[in-house]
Amino acid sequence: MIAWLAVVLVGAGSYGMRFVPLLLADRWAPGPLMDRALRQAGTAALTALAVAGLRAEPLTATGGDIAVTGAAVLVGSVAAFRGHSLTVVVGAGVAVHAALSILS
Amino acid sequence: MSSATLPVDPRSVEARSIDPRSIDAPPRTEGAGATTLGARTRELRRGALAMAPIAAGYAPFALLVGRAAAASPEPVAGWAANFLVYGGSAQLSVSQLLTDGAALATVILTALLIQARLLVYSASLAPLWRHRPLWWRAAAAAVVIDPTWALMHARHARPGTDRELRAYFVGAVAALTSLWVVLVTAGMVLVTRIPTSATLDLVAPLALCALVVPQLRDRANLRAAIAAAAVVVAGTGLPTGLPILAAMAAGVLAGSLGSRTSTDGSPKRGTPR
Repeated sequence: MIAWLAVVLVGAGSYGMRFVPLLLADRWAPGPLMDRALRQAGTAALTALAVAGLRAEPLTATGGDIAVTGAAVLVGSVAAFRGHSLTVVVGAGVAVHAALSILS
Repeated sequence: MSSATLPVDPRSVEARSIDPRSIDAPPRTEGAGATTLGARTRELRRGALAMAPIAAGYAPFALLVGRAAAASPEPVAGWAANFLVYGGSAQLSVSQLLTDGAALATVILTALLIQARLLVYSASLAPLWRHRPLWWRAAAAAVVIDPTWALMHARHARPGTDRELRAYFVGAVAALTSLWVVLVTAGMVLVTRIPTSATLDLVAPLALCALVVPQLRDRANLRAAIAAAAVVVAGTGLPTGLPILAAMAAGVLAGSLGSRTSTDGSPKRGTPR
């Protein structure tokens, strides 16, 4: 019962956070500065989630792990910057990590 | 201020002066036959195809979420969170905290802090969807999450009628939801057979990098990303969810520092008078 209560209340709160800004769209429109701030906040949130995920064990357990993870992320990021698809970005990063993990 | 409220004839001089990449550009008018069923079907497929690799990139994470749900006190509730919560990080935190015996208030607060970024996502989508009927916004709100937000911003930067944009959104959501649910379910069923691997743990962060890195060509976004990364690293040990909120605040502050804006704050593109 507790679990169901948690899921339902988290769901309701999540939906409220999603819907209220869309509901207020008729009455309130962000100015250009707010527009830019919202977009940058989104970029910052995704970056934060990515970095938080990279800091999880065992990706950064030792110095060697950090170096291997860093190399994999660098390769993936270069692929992303050059406009490759997500599949290529993830595949390239994973391949580098797997190869370096075997070699190290 | 952002978008014009009147529909724009694509043949007009004013319309040709609108940069179609501006998210402030209103959708093209839909005259008779302007958006055929074929065009909408194509957009539906495009949205699904654009989302498929992103969703596939989340596969290891989805399997982990399924494994955590299977281990929680109420696995069915953990599965129902696929639809009720619609956020993998929050789902995972709920399952893990319930398994650890955390207090109900702690479980709810932690998950909502993780989900707090959804306020920002919806607020940034609000200008794009302001002209849509309330029922559509109420339905679409349920599926606002990182990949749907990112894809919709990218899609709105390209030309398209309103119906095409909606079809694209529906295709993307259908692909994401179906793949996610199947993978979480698989994780619940295969709970004892999923290996732990550092390489698999890298998949979800790499998928997020694929979404973020292209945005870093903009200097303000680059500053925002650097600030956010620094805050997350410095915030190690804080309660789950707080570093992400702090990172968003730091990112906005860093992005705005040193930015030189025009009088309306938008890139200098042609707009109708």
